[in-house]
Amino acid sequence: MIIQVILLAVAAFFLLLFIRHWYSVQTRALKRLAFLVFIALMVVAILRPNWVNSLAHQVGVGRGTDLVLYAVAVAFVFVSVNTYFRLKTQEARFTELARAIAVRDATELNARRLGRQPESEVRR
Amino acid sequence: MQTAEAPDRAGTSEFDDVWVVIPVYNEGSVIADVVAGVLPTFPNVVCVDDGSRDGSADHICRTAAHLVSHPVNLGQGAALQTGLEYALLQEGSQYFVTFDADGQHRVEDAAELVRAVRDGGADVALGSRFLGGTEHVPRIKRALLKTVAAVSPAARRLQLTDAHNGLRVLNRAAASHLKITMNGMAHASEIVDYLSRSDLAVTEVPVTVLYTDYSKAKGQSLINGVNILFDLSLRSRRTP
Repeated sequence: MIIQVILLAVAAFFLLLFIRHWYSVQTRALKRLAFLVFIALMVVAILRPNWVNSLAHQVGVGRGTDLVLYAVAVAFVFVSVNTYFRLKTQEARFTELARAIAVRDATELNARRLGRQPESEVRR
Repeated sequence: MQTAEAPDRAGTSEFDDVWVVIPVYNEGSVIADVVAGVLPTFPNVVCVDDGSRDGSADHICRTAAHLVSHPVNLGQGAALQTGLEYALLQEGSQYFVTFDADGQHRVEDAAELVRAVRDGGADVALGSRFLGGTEHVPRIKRALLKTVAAVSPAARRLQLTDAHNGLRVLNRAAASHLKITMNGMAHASEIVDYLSRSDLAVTEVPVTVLYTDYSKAKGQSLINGVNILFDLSLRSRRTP
């Protein structure tokens, strides 16, 4: 029971922190550190399954595999959110590029179509 | 369609300093008529073709409206932002109208909004379906829009009655600081959010939305509200 509350609270807290400060330098550093810790824990879990089991018992999860499963679930959520933001950033850059092209082409096109000079050159 | 030249820059129209921005996506069957309806009142119109595949751009080309074409489809929010940026570059532009391409807005209402900004001392005027009578708004839509206006903190702060009306007028200061980053349909909430955080004076003006069969068929489905809420809730506070 306790472990469920703790795990949920921790997951929610980090997710919120992560979303609000995604662009900061600290978050990027934290992500890399978290990745290293995750790898290290994975190695430990592979080499010493008993440790994971006893840790699981101490926090009341039951089996070690369940604890690992929870960890993977949390990691998956973080990866998803990270990917979502990365795509959003890409989209924003892509949009600005497309917009710059569209406005540049349109200035020329409309000057020709509507028989005016480009506005920036009018009355200089 | 005739290719009537827009009146000369030194022209006589009351709305020479107004630019109407119309985002267009696959509206080929109606866009020429919508533009033809707007041009007599507002000589400056820019249509942003958002990568339509039904020849909307050709229809716009036959009118006297300016045409800006997105090379690929980016979404309505992105098209609005592009149109505003283009209009801001045009000489003498002072007021900016956002207008839907499906013919659901009335040109008289747009003129009324412009007057509210120009003469009424507001920086931004938003159209509201609910300030006047609401009989013409379909019932489900009415309930949904009122709920959005009531639960959105930004809309509440501004005391808005209608958070998702496509008809808006911004003055130059308001338009030049607006940066729409929500490319899809969440931009309406984003604009309200921007306004509530700014010091701009915002006013609502009653407008009539013409729910034609065409605009009903094209309009946003209710389920799209889920997408909008998702995008908005995951928006991070970017510190540039």
